[in-house]
Amino acid sequence: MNERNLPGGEMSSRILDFIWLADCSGSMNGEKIQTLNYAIRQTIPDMRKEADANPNASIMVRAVKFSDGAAWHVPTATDIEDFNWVDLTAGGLTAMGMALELVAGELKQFPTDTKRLPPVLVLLTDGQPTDDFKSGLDALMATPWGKKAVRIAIAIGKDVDLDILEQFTANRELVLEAKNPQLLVKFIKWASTVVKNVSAPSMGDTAGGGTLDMASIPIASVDDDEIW
Amino acid sequence: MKYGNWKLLGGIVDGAVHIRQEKPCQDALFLQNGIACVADGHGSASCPYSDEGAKAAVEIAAEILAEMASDIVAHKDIRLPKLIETKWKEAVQAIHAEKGRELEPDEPFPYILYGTTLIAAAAAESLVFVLQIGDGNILLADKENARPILAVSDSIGEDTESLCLDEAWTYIRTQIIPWNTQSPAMLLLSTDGYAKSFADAAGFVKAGTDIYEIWQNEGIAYVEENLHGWLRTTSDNGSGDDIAMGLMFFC
Repeated sequence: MNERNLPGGEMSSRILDFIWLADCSGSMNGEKIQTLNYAIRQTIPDMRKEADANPNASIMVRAVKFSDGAAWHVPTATDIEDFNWVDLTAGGLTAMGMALELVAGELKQFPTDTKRLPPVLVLLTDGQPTDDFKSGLDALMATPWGKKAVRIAIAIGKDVDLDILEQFTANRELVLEAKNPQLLVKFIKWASTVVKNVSAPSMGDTAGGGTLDMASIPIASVDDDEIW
Repeated sequence: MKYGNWKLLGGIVDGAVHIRQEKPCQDALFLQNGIACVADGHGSASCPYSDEGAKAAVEIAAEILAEMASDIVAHKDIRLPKLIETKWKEAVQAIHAEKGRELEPDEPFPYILYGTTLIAAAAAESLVFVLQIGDGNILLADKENARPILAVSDSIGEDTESLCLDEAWTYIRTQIIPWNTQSPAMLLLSTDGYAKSFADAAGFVKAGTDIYEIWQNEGIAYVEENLHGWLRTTSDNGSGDDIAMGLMFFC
């Protein structure tokens, strides 16, 4: 084949944005935030492996932390090859609505072309929002990419308002209840694996988990008997 | 293949991602007497037989367009789209029964198992008829430029309309392109894996002008010889998706 005559302009792989939204409220202090930090760090090698296996998609990661307010913990979309996790610390309230608004503001900037893959949003929390959650969710869902995002929630412990998280995911199956540290690690690892499903070309039934391998969601085993 | 002053070429490649995942190609291509059709089976977990749905779609569209050749203009908005939906749904039901696949009792037939897009074009002396449901692209190129036909701007991510939807015919977009038979022109039909391989929309449109120029400068045999390699390289370096492309040259 004559490469000189290859038709068309510049080619590029497709972009998959992966955003962690981590609750850093006071109740997360101690083992919960330590486990969260540990588990997210553990996902990096697997996500890199997935990126290597699929050169046609670029996995770009960033993170939001929320407590009294919300702020970018990793503000720049970072190629998973260059991504490192800096540990979070806990203290304050649970401004979950502000976190969603922050992400909405970012997703609003994304061009609405078909080149981009649906973003993956993973919300981790152990409590209930102390701010206006509905406004944040409305802002997120008002953006084309927020609506199309694969939205997963991980409930840490037993004090979480699961109904609120179901409003976020729009699918009860994607609200994962981590009742102990082992399950939290398993769920965070599982959430990171969805990049494999989302980055494969397919019809857009990702929102609500259509292309996800729901059967592979970890379940509690007899060893997972410790409760937060 | 030649029909009047039309020559047809086509190519189809498995996407790099599907090869790595050992999944079958979900795209389909059909060329026949002035008619070109491409389709893209959705390929997601909820559409396990979409490769079969795509194949059925291109065959049925070609059959209907050939049968309606002289009546396309009169029936392009209602009768023809309805016929495509009906015949496709009958076809996938027949495939389902033939393969002995199970159905849930008292549930409507799960057309989503076979979900697919479809793009088709039929050429006549003084016009070209095009139809499209779902994503994918049509470009019309001549000596002036290349321009998208039936493009939609509100589709993002992986969302697409599909023949598997209820009342799918209402989502089928159609257009008649009056034909200036005085100058050479080219119609390009491709599944979304091709356009999504380029960094931006301009890069895809450039592909239309480039193929047109290559055809004019090097001849159709050169395009035919290289088309498969172009699609292979484009998928590998771009979207990693399957690509089906139909090219109609008027000369």
